[in-house]
Amino acid sequence: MAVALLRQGIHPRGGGCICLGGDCPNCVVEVDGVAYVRSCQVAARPALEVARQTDTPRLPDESRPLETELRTAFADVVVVGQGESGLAAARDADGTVISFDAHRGEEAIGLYAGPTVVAKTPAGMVSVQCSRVVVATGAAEEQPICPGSELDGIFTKRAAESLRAAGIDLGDAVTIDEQPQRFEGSGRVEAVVTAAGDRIAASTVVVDLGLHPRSGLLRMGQGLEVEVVGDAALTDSLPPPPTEGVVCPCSDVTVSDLEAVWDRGFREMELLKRATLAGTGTCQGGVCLPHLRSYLAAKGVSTPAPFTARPLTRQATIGEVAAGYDLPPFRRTALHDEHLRLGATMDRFGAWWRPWRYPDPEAEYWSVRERVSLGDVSTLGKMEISGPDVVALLEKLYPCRVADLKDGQVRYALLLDERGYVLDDGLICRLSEHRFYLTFTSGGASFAEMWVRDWAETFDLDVRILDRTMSLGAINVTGPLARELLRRGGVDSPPAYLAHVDAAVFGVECRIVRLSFTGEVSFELHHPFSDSVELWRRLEEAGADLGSYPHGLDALFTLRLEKGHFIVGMDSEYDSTPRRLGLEWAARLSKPDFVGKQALLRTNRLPLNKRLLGWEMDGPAPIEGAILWQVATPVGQVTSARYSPVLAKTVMLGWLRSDPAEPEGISCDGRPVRHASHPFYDPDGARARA
Amino acid sequence: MLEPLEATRVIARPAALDAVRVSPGTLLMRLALDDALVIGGDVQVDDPFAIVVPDSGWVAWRFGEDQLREALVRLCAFEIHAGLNQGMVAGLPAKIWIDGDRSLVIVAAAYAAEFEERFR
Amino acid sequence: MLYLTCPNCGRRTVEEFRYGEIPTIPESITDPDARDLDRGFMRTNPFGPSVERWFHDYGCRRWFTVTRDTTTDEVL
Repeated sequence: MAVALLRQGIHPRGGGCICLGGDCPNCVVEVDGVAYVRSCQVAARPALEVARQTDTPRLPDESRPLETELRTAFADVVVVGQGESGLAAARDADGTVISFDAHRGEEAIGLYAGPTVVAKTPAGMVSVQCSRVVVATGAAEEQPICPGSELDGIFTKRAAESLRAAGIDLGDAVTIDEQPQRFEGSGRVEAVVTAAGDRIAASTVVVDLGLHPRSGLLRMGQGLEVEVVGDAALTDSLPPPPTEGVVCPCSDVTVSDLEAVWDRGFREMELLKRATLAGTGTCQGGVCLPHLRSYLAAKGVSTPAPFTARPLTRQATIGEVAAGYDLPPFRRTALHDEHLRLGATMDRFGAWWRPWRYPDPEAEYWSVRERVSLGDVSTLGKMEISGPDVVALLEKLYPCRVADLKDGQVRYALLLDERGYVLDDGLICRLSEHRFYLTFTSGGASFAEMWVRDWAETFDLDVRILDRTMSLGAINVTGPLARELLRRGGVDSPPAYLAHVDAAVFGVECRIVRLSFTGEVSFELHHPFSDSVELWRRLEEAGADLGSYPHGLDALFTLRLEKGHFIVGMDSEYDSTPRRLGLEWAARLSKPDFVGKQALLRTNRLPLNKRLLGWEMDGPAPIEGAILWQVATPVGQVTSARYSPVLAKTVMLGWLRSDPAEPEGISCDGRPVRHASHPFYDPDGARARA
Repeated sequence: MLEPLEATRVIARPAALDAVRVSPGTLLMRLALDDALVIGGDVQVDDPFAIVVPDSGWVAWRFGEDQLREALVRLCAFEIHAGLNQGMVAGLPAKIWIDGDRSLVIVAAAYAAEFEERFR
Repeated sequence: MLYLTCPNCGRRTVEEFRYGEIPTIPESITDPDARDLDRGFMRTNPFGPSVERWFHDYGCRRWFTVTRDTTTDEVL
């Protein structure tokens, strides 16, 4: 493309020495809306839209697809560059070889640990994992640094050869082989004043100033298995120190700019680069690096090493940089389409899509409080664990007692880290002497598996662990009529409160676990993933005349808050101990040992500096996160706040940070707030146990 | 192309799993030393503490090996070999079984929709 | 790109793994009480070789232990 433009008498950038080697920024243009394209590296095609590069490039047209594909490849050896030495290296290498040839538009833009070579190619991005990299990138021609170097009509020796080969007449071209004093002219060069002081009139000047190895990839690959061959391995001799003119044409840094930062004390390579931005532009030091080194050497800095090179060596589009990256995936429960059929609005919570509203949270709420309702709790963490040492492990992991659980019993438990901070909560269900079923929060499931496995290995205990989070569905049947709905499903003796049984519900084998998060009678039906839809539909049909209506997360958050149940990560903070949460009963310090016990013994001796408390106020709920004030002092914040339909007031959980003797005179949102004990609703739990 | 897998999951002592023999036509994927996914057959394992459960939480796509390998060049950053490969494919945890015309990609059913969109 | 080799699944990019910190207690601390405190609340930030636990999140979902040089990311 650069040749085509020059043939038309157009300098791609308006001026500056042209190298046609991809080493300088003097031919960059915008091509089809993509900024900073080296026109010498792009083949000209009909209908390409080429525009002058501006300092403020346009954002790409939104209709243009940004996406670029990334292909992954594996090879013993990667050869970058396909000149003479690159071809020889590829021919002589042992094992599988992948080569990149800049002349075919294949540019290696990054070298990473591994080693991994990332290249942009006409077919998209390529990432190659290999054992060895051969850098055969050749050498770049030295650019003239002097006043007037920004004029049109200056070419390197190789560029001039290419242009002549392309049939372009360079007229009265004069060739010089030393850095000149200056170029003269206006727009186009008219004369060159040589190092010796001779003024030669010419409208075209060819500069033949020597070669410098293209060392970018090499410097990027320090400490990796990288070999260099051919001209890229040349010893880099320094040009004469620049005295005047633009040193870095990308960032427009002049010799006087270098003098200014030198005077301010930036007296080494990396500082010079950072202070002036020389070398940080399109050509990544292709032009300026030898001259910067020479400048510093002349100042008495002993042979300064080139600055560090980092990916990328070449400009890349956002699509090219993002190639191969994926958005985090979200899971769907087996009931996803059922929720959509019922008109639910779905939202992302943690790793899952979950129903938020069906879409009437008020109706959903009353269905739970007065009749019966279905909730999809398939997202809960679920784990089966067995083995001769299973009790020993669980006794270590949980701060509550485990050994005394009888078969068929369920216990609510916290999970603590070594600092005594609450990580998660859930249920422990004992299936038999050496077999348990554990549940965790939806958000904590993945971590819980890591946690349990880690400690089992740490203590070297003989257990079998199976995470069943994604292989089992779970439906919560909750409300005063829940028992009746189960009876219709064929369950005559449902489990008592804090117990579980295995039984078929409408023919689907379920583990029925009874606890209560909603405050009403609740049966969680855990069942095979593939039976979820069948079970949900049968429950829905059988519950229709009971007034059953499913509930989403929005209604659930109100139901649980009325019961004062905290949610890990929403109400608790990273350093919430059982004491700070008001759950001291959940950590049995008389146990011989459990993870976090030593920390609890210590932190329990410290003054209690923050507490999660229940609060109530009149009127609508403030936003979650609202500040709790004591007169004009912030003393805490609300973590959960909902208007309670059944209590006709707003109930909240919130942290009280400083430790006023009495939490009195507290306000939030400009309204008075009263400390209230929780559960706010059915404090004795009579409804849940019914 | 997508098919729900009716599989059996077996967690048992490594030595007990080593000794398991399955009938021809049954696929046993050793996910870890103590962990196997068995597709299309029964399995007996000599470990009183073993967890052996039906596992319907997976879906699979069947491919010819060449077609699958070509697709994976765009979607995963690790080298595929014959037999079981586990790792990130299109940003998702997946299992790839390479065995000629019986090659499979398996993901958790909860990721089925997302994977199908990404696999294209 | 940091690569780790899962003993079960093979060599993978670090994106597939989750880091599990191992609080390393300096041997110089001999008082058991102080060791507990250090284990719970102190975090070393080693410069150089570091023994670490990694969890193969996208693969077999098992832990393994490696020694990594934190200055070079090289797995020793």
